[in-house]
Amino acid sequence: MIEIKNVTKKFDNFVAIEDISFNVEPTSIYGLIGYNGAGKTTLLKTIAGIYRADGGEVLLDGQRSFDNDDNRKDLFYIPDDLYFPLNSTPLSMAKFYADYYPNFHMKTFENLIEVFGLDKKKKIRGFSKGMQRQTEIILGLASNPKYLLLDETFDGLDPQKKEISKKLFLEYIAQSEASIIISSHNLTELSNLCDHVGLINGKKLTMDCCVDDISQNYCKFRLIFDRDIKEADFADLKYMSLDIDSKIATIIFEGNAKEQAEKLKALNPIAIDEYKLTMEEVFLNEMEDKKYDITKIFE
Amino acid sequence: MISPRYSNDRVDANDLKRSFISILPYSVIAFLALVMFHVQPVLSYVFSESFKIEKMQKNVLFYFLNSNSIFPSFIQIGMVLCGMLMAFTLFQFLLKKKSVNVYLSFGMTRSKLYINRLFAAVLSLFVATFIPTFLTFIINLVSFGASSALTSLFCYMFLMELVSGLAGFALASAVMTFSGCTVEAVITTIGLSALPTFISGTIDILSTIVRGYVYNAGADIARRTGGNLFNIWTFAVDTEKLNGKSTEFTPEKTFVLLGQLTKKSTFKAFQCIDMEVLAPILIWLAISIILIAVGTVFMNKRKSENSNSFGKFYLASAANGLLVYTIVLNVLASALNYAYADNPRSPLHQNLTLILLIVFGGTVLAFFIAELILRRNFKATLKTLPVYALAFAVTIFAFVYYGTSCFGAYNKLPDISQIKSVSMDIKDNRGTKLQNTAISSKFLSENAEDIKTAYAMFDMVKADKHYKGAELEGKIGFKIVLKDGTEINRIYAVYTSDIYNKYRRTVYDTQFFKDFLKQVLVERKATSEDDSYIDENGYQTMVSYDKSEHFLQQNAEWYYVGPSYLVDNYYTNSATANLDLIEDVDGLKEAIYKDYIAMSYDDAYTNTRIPVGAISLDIEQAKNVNTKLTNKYGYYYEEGTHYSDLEATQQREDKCVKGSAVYSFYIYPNMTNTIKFLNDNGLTPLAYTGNIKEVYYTDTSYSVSRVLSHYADGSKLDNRYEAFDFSQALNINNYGEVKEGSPDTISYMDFVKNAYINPGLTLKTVSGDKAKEIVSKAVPYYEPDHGTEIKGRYIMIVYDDNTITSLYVPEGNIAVFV
Repeated sequence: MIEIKNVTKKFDNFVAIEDISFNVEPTSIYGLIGYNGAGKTTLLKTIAGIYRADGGEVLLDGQRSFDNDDNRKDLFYIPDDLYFPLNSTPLSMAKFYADYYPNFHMKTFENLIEVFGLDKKKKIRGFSKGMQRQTEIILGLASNPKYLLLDETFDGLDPQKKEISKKLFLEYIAQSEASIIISSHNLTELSNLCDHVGLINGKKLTMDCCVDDISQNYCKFRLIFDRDIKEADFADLKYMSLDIDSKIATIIFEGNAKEQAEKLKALNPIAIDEYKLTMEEVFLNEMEDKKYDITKIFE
Repeated sequence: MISPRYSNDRVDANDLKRSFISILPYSVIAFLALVMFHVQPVLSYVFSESFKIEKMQKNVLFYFLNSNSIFPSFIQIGMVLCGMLMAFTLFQFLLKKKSVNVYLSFGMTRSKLYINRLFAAVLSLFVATFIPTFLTFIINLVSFGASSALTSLFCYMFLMELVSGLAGFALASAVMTFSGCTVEAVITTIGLSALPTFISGTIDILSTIVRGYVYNAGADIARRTGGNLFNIWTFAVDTEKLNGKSTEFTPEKTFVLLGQLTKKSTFKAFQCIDMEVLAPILIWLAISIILIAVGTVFMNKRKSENSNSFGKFYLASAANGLLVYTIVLNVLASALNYAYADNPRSPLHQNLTLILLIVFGGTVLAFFIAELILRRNFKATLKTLPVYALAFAVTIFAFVYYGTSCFGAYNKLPDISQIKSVSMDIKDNRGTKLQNTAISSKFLSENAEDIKTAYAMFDMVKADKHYKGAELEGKIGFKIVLKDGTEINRIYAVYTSDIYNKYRRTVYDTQFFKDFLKQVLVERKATSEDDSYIDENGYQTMVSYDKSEHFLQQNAEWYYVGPSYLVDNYYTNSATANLDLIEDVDGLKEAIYKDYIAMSYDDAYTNTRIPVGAISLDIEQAKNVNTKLTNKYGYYYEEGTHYSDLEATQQREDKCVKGSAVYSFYIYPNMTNTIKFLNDNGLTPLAYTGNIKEVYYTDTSYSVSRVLSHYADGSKLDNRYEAFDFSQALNINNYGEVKEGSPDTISYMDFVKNAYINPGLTLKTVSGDKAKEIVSKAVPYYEPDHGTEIKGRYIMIVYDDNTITSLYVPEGNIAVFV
């Protein structure tokens, strides 16, 4: 299990992430979501022991990760910026990682190379970005880690390879009981992969929940009135977002849908429809702390 | 199917293996180079034709590092570089974001990553240095047998090479742990390795500006090996000494690294290597260990988010800032020191406040601009203020330290009652070998008057104001031994000739200086067994191996007291000068000594009487002499080459290399003992007394030697410029000296004749009574100090029998030409 406890990381005086805590259970994939520059990579590098946390700690199976080489041997970090030495090939990289990961399995490597259709003896510098990404995924999985950290790993992969990768990750955790943390700013990529998601917003983890709970915790209603309505009409309600267009209002709540529906009926709409929120809608609502009127930008 | 997890932990071993492999090219190159430098020469020698004969004849103790192959200083520099390259390769991953992500996420602590790389480097360096040196040791052992000298040499060479490599690695690896990128790491490493040299140079300049003279309070710990303790590139060996004088026979221990040692040599210093020689190496071993510890700490504390950046690591920035600061300070101080010293009309002249303001103002500005360029951020640059505040404070401290002589401590002496013995060291104005020898332990005086004199001189030196001329006039050194055994050594540089002559007069009158003269002129025997040895040719050679006493170094350069000649101060038309061999050299020197100690300083050294003759006392400098060779110019000694090099010996003979002869003395009329000795030996030291036919002179007081440095056809006598300096006409030492490779010497007479018919020279000729009048006002020229302005006129005198000689009409008698 990966335990992140009150982790804070600063770059000089700039606070990149602050007081972040969450756990990743074995046989689980945790999706780390946030906009560009939110601190996802910083958090992953802190978990990987590359950065030293300025506050808090990361525990791998109960032991500190930064200065503990024993359990970090079971951690594999696939960074956004891939590292391949000059003239390296997938095979030479496999040998390289085999030296540093005791559980590296060459047969798995061979199998995965075949699945992705790569040439293991070809120089990596001649590979496309997507092929390099595939190589790193192969190396990561062949290293047989207990903790796999993936930073924007699907970037540059074509849809087919993306699907293969997802299936491989799911198959891997099913068989190895590994814990995976995957960061992305693309919600659809994670929607059918992760069992837990965390949202980093404003340096902090503003949301940490099970994917299945998301739809139950949020509800969306569309109301039609026989009169023009105003925001003030909803003043007594505690909503997450409200969008009014003349006689039609769209409103999102956090909490039980039935309770909210009863409250809305009190406003006497002529029609009321309930919808389920997509994951993307949930996160967009969570992250919506600044509303720009973009229509005025190019005036 | 996922493979089962297994616990075979080979990560550390694999990391070590990869570290080894990554630096293998450097190890192999170092290994092959050292095999070539060490093993190849001794193997070549052992399998050479002459080996068997020489081994029997010379009783060779060992043959280590032939001087023809490579110099130890190059080896040290190479090994330091090798260590640095290893560090750059092994820690390269720290400087790139991509690689740091991978390596630091491995299942290894940062300490282990560091230690593995350290271990790989140390083992590689050990293998690369130990095998070649040990092989050489074994070959020597088999060929020449065991000796403590061989064992010592092996230990020294091996340790020097290993520690040099380790020091380079330790410095570079420590720098890598606090550098952001490769450029920064390289600049910082080179900068830090050069910083001590810059700082020492700056301090010298600063102390010159502040004090007006340089000052040396103690012996350098690395002096014995000729190295500079504070310089990573030369802490164990000195480039100049070993490269420039590799063939000379000196008691420097490191010399033996370049050749061989025979069993007949009795230098104790050569037989084993003591702590003094090992100290610089051990000190750098300690420094390396400290640097490694520093590297480990910084590795653990390293902020890897700053990788791939320049100027984000504070320490690297501080080191580079300090380097910029020191370089600029050095340059500015040098420039201003030049203006300060040489241009009395300059507003800066002796205006210390203005100079300091400019130096510090300029330096701080330059430092700030450099930081601004590096950081491209004004706010970040402002943050470096503490760095140059610190540098500024250190510089101010250096100024105060030197300005007050370590807050006055070095300019103080204990009460005179505590002094047991004294000696002083001063350069003899004749430029002979008195320099740096007079205050050796042998010439310490317990005479109460001498102690008073030295005590007073010490105060005098401190009180004297010097005009800081461009050239150093000389140095004066004090050795003061207290009754409790404490030794105080002080050396001061003097820039003013009048003041220096004043010091000379005082030193000349002391008993220890007379003792010194006696040692040189009369005894010429070592005072103890340790001070001399009889070489294979039966010559006694004075040496001193106590190199901790720096003033003894020159002492080791006196060796053979060769034949002496009486020189008449005239020349005939023949190709050689009139030289009368004086067979009883000891008697001659005894007589000269008696005369000299009876004369005052001015009588002896600034005598303006017409001398009645001159004596050349030929003292040869020993040069690892193997064979005494003769030719038409006299004898000379083969310079130190190894014994198998017989062909080179022959070549040198053909080229007519003459050893240096250092003493010549004028015989003045008041030197009664000398004149009596010569008369008793049937020699007449009188000037030529023929009838004067003509006198030639020039209108110019310009140095005649420059006028005469042309042939009639206008071509320059480049190589003979100094050798035929007219002012040194009586100095036999300058006669007939031939540079190597120029065996076709011309005679003095040819030279004079050619010069005087040079159409470019405006010569005037007089004869008859006027000629005699001019000659009566002339004296042989004697230059009291090198560089003395010549205000008189040189004349050439031609006698009826066409004998030619020359004299000098001093400035006071110049009216005779009117």
